[in-house]
Amino acid sequence: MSSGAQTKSGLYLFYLDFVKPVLRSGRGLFGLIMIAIMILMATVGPSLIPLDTKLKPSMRWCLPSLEHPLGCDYMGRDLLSMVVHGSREVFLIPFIATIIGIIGGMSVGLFAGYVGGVARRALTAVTDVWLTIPSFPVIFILAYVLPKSPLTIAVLLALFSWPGLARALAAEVSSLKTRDFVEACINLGLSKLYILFREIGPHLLPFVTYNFATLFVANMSSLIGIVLLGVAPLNPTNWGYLLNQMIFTYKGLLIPNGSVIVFLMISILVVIKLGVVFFAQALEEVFNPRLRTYE
Amino acid sequence: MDLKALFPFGKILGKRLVYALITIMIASTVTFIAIRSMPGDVLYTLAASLAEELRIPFEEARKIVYSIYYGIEIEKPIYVQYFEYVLGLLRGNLGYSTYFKRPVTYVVARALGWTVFTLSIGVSLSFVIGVLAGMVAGFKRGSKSDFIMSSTFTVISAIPGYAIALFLYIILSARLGLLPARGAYSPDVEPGFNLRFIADVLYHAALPILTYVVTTFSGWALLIRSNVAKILEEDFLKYAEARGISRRRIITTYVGRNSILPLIPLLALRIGGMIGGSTLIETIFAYPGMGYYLSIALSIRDYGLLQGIFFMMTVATIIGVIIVDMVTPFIDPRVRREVAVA
Amino acid sequence: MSDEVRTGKNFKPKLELRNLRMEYLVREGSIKAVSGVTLFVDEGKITAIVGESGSGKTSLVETFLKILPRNARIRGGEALLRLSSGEEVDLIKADERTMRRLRGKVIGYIPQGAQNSLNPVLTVEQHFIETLRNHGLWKPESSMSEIHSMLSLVRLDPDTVLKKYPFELSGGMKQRVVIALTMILKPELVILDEPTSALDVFSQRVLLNILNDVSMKYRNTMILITHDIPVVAELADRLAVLYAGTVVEVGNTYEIFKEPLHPYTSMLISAIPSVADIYVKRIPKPVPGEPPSLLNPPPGCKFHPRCPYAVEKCRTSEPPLYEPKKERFVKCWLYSGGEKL
Repeated sequence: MSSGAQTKSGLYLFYLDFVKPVLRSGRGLFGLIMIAIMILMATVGPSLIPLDTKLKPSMRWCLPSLEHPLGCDYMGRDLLSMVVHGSREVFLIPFIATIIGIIGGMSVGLFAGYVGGVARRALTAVTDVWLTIPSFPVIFILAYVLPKSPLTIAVLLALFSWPGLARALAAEVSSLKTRDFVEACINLGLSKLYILFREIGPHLLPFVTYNFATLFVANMSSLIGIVLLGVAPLNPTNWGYLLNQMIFTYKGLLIPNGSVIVFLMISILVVIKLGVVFFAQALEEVFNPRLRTYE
Repeated sequence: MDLKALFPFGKILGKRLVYALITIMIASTVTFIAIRSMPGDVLYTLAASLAEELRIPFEEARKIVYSIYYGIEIEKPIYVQYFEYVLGLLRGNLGYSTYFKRPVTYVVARALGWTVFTLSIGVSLSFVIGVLAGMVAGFKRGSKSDFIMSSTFTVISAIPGYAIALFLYIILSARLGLLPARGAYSPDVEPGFNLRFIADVLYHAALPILTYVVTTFSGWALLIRSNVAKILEEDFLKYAEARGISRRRIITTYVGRNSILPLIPLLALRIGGMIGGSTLIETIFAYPGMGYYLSIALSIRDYGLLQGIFFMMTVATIIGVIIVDMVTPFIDPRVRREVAVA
Repeated sequence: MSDEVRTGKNFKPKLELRNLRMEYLVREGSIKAVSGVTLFVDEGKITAIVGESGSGKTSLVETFLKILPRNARIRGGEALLRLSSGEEVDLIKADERTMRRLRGKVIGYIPQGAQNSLNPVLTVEQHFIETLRNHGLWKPESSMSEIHSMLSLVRLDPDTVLKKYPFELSGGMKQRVVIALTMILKPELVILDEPTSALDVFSQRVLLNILNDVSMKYRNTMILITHDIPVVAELADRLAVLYAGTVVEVGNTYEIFKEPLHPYTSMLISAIPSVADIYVKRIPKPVPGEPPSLLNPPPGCKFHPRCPYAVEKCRTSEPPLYEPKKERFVKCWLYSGGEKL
């Protein structure tokens, strides 16, 4: 390496290799903005925008305006304030669920992939069974009957987050295991744990990151889905609960303005989900140059 | 021809049956937990009214309620309760619905058909459309039209099924009034094998089916697209061209079959998700399938109905997976040989 | 390996490549994989094309067969094919319909490796039937016995192989199936791409015997692409040396081995271990230097950075193909006194 390149700090190289390509791809930038909005919404949002609890019958289902950027709900409350206050639960529970799921999936996957043989076959059998269970009703029934707490729901969501990742990781590890550099480590007498975490681990990081993002949005949709179906929420501003009230209790879909508000509400969810998916894809392209498009 | 060649699934079927048994155990554990942790007031109301009617002590009424409604013999040790419960489910004792005042099998018998009908049409249509769209994008890989198509697929596949159901509801039903979003057929139509009824049923099923198609076709299309792009680089494709094999045969037998085959096992894995996902979609469209009754059971706290419907959903998934497993050897020679050797 | 078949200037070659050019478009620019190839392939003979890996051997064949990847662009030249019917076709100008008629039926291509050249979902028998059907040659009463005898010729047992899927065959068997599948159409021109690479020494021997049998039986014109010089010496009548996408020397195999003209050819030949080398356990010295980048090929003669005889002229302008001796062509300024082609 020339002396010119060495003077560049590691942080700058990180920027060049990872940050700049994400920012330069339109999808990556869009995703980054969405994630920034999500974080702001869930952290400082509730203290910036007070929760509107006043019932204003004259403002029921009012359309978006300067005063109410997202319009009003079935009781004439400002929808933006509801959405912002509900975001904490809607983001935090899936986030915890995804962390639990990823840790579980990684431990099982790495173990089965590294040990191989019987362990891998057992994992395949277990995940085969696990993936056949209609997961949504299970989450929804258990969330309904078990004592309610954010952690319970997060664990339920995590219960169905690990198999896909575990399976893919096991396959990946067992193929990495036969690569030259790992065999060299084994010949050097390095410990298995060292090899697993220091040598194999870094190769799996992009894959795990990508899975984190996609699992997070999937868990978010599931959470909103079960609350939408009538599993009582922990917080009355949960987006699923807002939708449930709008659609089933107040029959918003049959009211012209109501359907506009419902439409807006789901669009917010879809745009956020898309943002995270796009960000994950942009990251994946950065990590894996083979995915970049030529011509 | 020997028996093995005629019926080469012995081993695959055996494996699946073991899996099915485990799946059923897990599913019944879920419902068992649900019933055992049922809120006291639901049980109290049932037991109290029974006690009054039969003039028996409350405790005895409570036992009878457990046994009749949910198939659990409450006085026995918990593991005996559990095993008898699972055996009961397997024997078809799905419990008793407090709302319909009938065995759950009665409700299931009416609901199962609608779910299977809409889902199977939805799955097949989405698979066919997804494969065709993915093939087009794959053949044009790297071009502008491929970029537009795959971006659209990515966007659509990121939208949750219930959001698509709501979008379609708002646009096609609430706004334009094109399609009905309530029930499986109009009340004024005579059910039976006549043209008017069939047309009406299809008309009512249009929204759920459309939702299944829109939700899932893009996922298939993305998978097929990447498979096609991979296969187009394969040596056997180049050699087929060099042998002068016709374009049509290359598209069908070379690219088509080889890109669709890896998707068949995925189809089996997704059946559970789709049956589970039908809960939300059928509820939104008030379509009287199993998912619809599951959410009704929840909202009126009918635990018998809840356990029975969920159990049937699991069984339907298992049967779907077994059907896919049975069909696979006919489509994929590699699986056929693997099975025949075993 | 004599040359008596050739009868002077009025002799017409089976395939005539003139100044053929093709490049691959990549993000960084264009890879000039075939840059001005001129080559005559004589009827009824085996012409070998040799060169290091990356010299554009396979690309050259894919260019005139027009089975290139999507990012490839043909940039000019002609490829004149003379059919036994007397028809002459310029493959470069021919439309896709004509090409589909010629591929397989007139020009047979046996691809490299053959590990992955068969459709995984078809049996060997289905491969044969579809191939014959596609060219309208399928005759229910006689075709099967033809397939059987073709498989026997490549030393495969037809009864066991025909019902098998590619994944049930070994690499060597697959390659022989591919040879039989190509030969069943009795092509007038057969192209063999690296037939011996990826085979162990024993299978190589078997394969060479098979190829000998096949070429004796059908007397097709053959193009043999390889980097394996001993194979060339054994099979080929004529030899073309490819370097960086261009032909640097063409001639009779025996004569080239006896007296190579181009500096690159002589380096290639001296890199083959001789009996003396083997006896004293000496490793012959390989061609020094690296093959040039085809993305930014050097100006002038592409070999000049590695050439011990390079002069100023070699660095600036590309030499034409000279014919310093009868039927010997060489692309090098050293022979600028000779007759130009």
